[in-house]
Amino acid sequence: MAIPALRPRRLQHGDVVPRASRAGLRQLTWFERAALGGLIVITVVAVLAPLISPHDPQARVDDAFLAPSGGHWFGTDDIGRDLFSRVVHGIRLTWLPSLLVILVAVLVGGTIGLLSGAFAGWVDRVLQRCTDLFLVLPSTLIAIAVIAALGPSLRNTLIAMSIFWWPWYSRIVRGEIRAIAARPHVEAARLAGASQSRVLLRYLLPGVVPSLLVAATLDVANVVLVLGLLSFLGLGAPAPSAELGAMTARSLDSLTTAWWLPIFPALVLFLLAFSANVAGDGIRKTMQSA
Amino acid sequence: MQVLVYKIQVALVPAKRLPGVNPSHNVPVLRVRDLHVRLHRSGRANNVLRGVDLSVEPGEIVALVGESGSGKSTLGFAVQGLLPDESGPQLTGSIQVCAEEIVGASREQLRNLRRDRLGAVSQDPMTSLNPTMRVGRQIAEAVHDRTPTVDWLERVGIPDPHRRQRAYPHELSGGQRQRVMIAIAMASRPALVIADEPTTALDVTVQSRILSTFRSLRDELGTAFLFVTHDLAVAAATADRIIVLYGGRVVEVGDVKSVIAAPGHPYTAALLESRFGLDVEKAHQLPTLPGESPSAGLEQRGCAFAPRCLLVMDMCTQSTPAVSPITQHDGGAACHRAKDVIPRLWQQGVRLWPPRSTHRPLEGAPTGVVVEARGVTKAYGHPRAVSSHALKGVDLVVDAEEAVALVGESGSGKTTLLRIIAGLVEPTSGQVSVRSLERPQMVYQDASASLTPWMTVGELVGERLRRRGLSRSTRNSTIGQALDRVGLPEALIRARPAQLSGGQRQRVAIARAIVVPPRLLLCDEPVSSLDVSLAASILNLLESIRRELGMAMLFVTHDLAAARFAADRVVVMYDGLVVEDGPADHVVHHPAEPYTRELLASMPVRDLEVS
Amino acid sequence: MNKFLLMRLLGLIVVLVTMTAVIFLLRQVVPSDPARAAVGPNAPTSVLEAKRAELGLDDPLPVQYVTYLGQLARGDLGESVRTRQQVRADIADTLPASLELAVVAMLLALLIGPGIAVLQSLLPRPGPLRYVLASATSAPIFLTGLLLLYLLWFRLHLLPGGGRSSFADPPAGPTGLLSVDAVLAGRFLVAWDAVQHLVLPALTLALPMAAAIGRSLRSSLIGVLRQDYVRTARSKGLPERQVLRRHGIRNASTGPLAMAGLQVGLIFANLLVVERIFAWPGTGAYTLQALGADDLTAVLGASLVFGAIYIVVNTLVDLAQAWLDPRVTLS
Repeated sequence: MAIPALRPRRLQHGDVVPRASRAGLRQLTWFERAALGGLIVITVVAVLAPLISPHDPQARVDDAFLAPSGGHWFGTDDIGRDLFSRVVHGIRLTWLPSLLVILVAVLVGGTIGLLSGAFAGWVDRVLQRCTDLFLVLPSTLIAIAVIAALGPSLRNTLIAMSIFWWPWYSRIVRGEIRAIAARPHVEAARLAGASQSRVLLRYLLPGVVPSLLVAATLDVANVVLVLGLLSFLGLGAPAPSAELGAMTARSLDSLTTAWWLPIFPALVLFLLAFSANVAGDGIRKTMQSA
Repeated sequence: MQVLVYKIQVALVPAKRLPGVNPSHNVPVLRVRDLHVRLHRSGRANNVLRGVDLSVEPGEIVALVGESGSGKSTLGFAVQGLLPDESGPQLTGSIQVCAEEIVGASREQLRNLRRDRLGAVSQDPMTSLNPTMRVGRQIAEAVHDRTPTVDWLERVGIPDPHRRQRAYPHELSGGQRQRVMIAIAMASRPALVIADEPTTALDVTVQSRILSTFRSLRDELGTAFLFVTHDLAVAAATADRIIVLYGGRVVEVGDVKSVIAAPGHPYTAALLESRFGLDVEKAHQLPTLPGESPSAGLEQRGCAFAPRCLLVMDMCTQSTPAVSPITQHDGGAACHRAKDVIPRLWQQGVRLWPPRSTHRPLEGAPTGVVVEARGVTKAYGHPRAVSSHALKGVDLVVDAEEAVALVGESGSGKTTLLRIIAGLVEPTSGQVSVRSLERPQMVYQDASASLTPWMTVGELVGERLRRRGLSRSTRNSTIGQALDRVGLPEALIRARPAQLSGGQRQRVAIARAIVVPPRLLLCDEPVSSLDVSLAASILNLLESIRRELGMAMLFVTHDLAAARFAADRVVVMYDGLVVEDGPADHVVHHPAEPYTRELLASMPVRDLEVS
Repeated sequence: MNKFLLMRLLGLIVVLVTMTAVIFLLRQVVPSDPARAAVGPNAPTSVLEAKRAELGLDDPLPVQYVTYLGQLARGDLGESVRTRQQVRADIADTLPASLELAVVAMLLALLIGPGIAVLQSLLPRPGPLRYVLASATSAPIFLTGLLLLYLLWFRLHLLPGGGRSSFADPPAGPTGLLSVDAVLAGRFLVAWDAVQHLVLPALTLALPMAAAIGRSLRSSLIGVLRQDYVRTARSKGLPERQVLRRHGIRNASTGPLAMAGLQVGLIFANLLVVERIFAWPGTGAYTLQALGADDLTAVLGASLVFGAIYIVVNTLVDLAQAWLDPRVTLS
């Protein structure tokens, strides 16, 4: 019997197999998605505060020490100002500066980390020593001292915080860059004749973005809390301003008589930080699976 | 020299008589029936195992052979009840270890089974040992009788056991760490040890010694072994019986020598023929399997191998063949054609996977020297500590259009030399000149790591075309040509590496290297992390491209068989020096140096010579 | 090993010196003129000049710095504008109270934090416990303090609402730690009362630290439990508790340990808040009053003291990390 013909097969190139790419967002719990939504809401509130708050935060609108009610959701304070309006403005005074501090920290720290990681050698060593020094010093402590020396104001507080916030990002970026640069694909790029700047921008930088994003989002909560703390200590904007921490500090003695005065601003701070934390966790989960 | 001394040492120390395992001789230590395993990753379900039947008798060494995507490692974990919780494992069917059922057992029961009846040796000894705990203590955790840890260390062949038991893992060599893992696995005197690629991460000379340790442990203590591996040669060297896994199913079982002499399943035959020995015809392309191993995915009707099989017929895609007895040997194969076509072909000596066309001969007589390296040394750290230099004075010449293989084990300096020639590393002393207009290009071992994840194929391949004053359309067409030359469709230009398979990624890396053909192509273990069937097609590709474009090639490998096949000249390196340098066939068949002979002797390939 | 130790000690000194330099520079920033403050607003210029020379204010900056270092070496932290006493004495008076609070808080944090983390690791399902840690790290410390105060003191009357002691004449004792002193003096009621007063502020101080340490341990553990060697441990059939303890926690502790060290630095700022809320007479309350009164000398003095403590503690943490991981010391 004849040997059946062996059917030669064309070399299969293999179709492009879409591996699990955007499966990330599906993994978030409803809680995390709510938190992400919450962040957007908070930002909107912060930006539109003057339009949203029912009353002028500095104006006396009613009797003092009124308990929370339909007319005044958060009650009134010792001067008779509507606490809810003040808290809404407080959100603005906390959230927007926090975002600013993070932005500055990411830009400054990221740039320094990028240069440090990409150009090894003495540049790296010098920048590293600087970063290390900042990281090793007790930052909040010295920030307090700095603000005390310069004079308490919102501007000085933000300056002090920015000074101490960037080193952490520099470390993160440098670590990531070095890890990426050690991988063959960067070497292959150099062999292919890519210029230094092209390697930096196209082969190194995009790899840093995910972890930077995760770190920054999780960090928002920290900034919010530190800002709140400094404000509580009286180091933020001066007296009649509607800063959340300061409001709590000034009404401590009313805890037993008008509990809403110290509690509500602190509670709102908690909600800001909590949303940022949960949302940050969610983003981290998304990035890790992608 | 050290190598020989060690061997003598081991032989002189008499092995202590240790009481063996007491299995009940009529019950198989492992019995798997119709096992289906489904795992989840990133929200997707994968049917990793699709109805597996197998058994292991007491004191048997069974090799479970399969490539990536076959599900072999998953089987090993499933037997131990150690499938990770994160992957949401779903098991149906039956797994019985010493007659105790695993599927559906409680965590407590599984733990007891692992403690008393099972042992495991994993692939990577560096990460599988607790870095902060002394090795003696790690072994002691597994011991349940009075046997001192020192006895076990001695039994697995670790010299100076009294001192070594207080060592931390990072203080031991790779081979010693693996021996510690074996001691841990054996210490509880299990009935069955599951070894998952235990020698893949080790050098070839170490590998052969470890394999013989397995055999002697079985002989002395009566433990059964389930050896998971992708390497048929390793299976042939160590096991009694072989089980071949493909696409989550068993495709062939049988006594190892018989299966290798006369395989019943086309896939087994393909594996055997792709796995080239030292005598493969050089001028021909290697026989290759078209396509790639299936990734575990959706349910499949019919035989998993059908898309790639040369003998496929309609029935193959409609009904799944079951393992049934065949004529070639006493085991079985799962193939619809096992009873008709295959035995006849085999009888008539027809190779199922004939070698493809011969390579094009090189045109004209190549002239000139591409690489000239004289007296190259490389020292990391102290220049004075000569014994720790990576390179200690190496000379190397590569002629135009010549293919040279640098062969050696880890620590030989072969990769360092390659990188120096590539211009990535500066030598400490000596001269290197590379005569080429284009910079030499490199193809790396790990294709995924050598492709930037967030760039498209087109951007990656086209990197070398930038800043040459080419118009966009010229660039695009050149990229398309390069892709075509490596056998990839032009549509992949817009794909990202994550969307490609392992073989496709390596082809993209090659396309990038040759888009503007350099005079010298450098390869760092280009196929060692690929499946055997894939490795053959990539080697074919490299060879045909080299001849077509007239490039010289310098590649680093630890595999002498690949070196002999793909290279004109073989350079053997050991401890920073060139030990032997000569024409490939000559070095392999008439080695002059003792180290070369040792390398050849360690290769388990000999057992696989297909008649 | 000794070389490592030496390098660490050297690093310690460098950082301490840097901190003094920073504080020194801050002193220069202050708009007010210490010479003017010393001689009064009405003194004639010649007296002012003389005072300035006496205080060394005309010397070049490096010289002033060295003088400053000399002062620090003698323990001279300057004079408080507010209390008109030596800052050193003020701090010596108030520090024991703060230390008592801080140490108890740290101990609580080291118990609670890892406890929650281990609990989470043993539970098969993540569950609501996951959000407990997240919310604990998100709560401003004054919120937790106020809530605890409101509930446990004002509403439920379980614990005292502030201060260190309800007794009028607590023992001044050898250690300055009220609870210990009272026990040493044999006045057990006072001791018990002191402990009760400690609970709320220490708990308030401890919670954010516990949360941070717990979170760090938890994420560290998740990473470690995925490692191959944990799988090896499980394949030996060891009970999960043992796997966690011997193979998990030991390898997962470098991160949390570093976090604990970091928390010591944050204690200072939180101390200011807690001592204010609970009327605790420690250095934190002192510093807060100094802040309110623009008493920069006191503020800087307190910062220096706390900073030094932080730096020393962190160095000890570094050494502990090295001791835990044999790979670090031997490299």
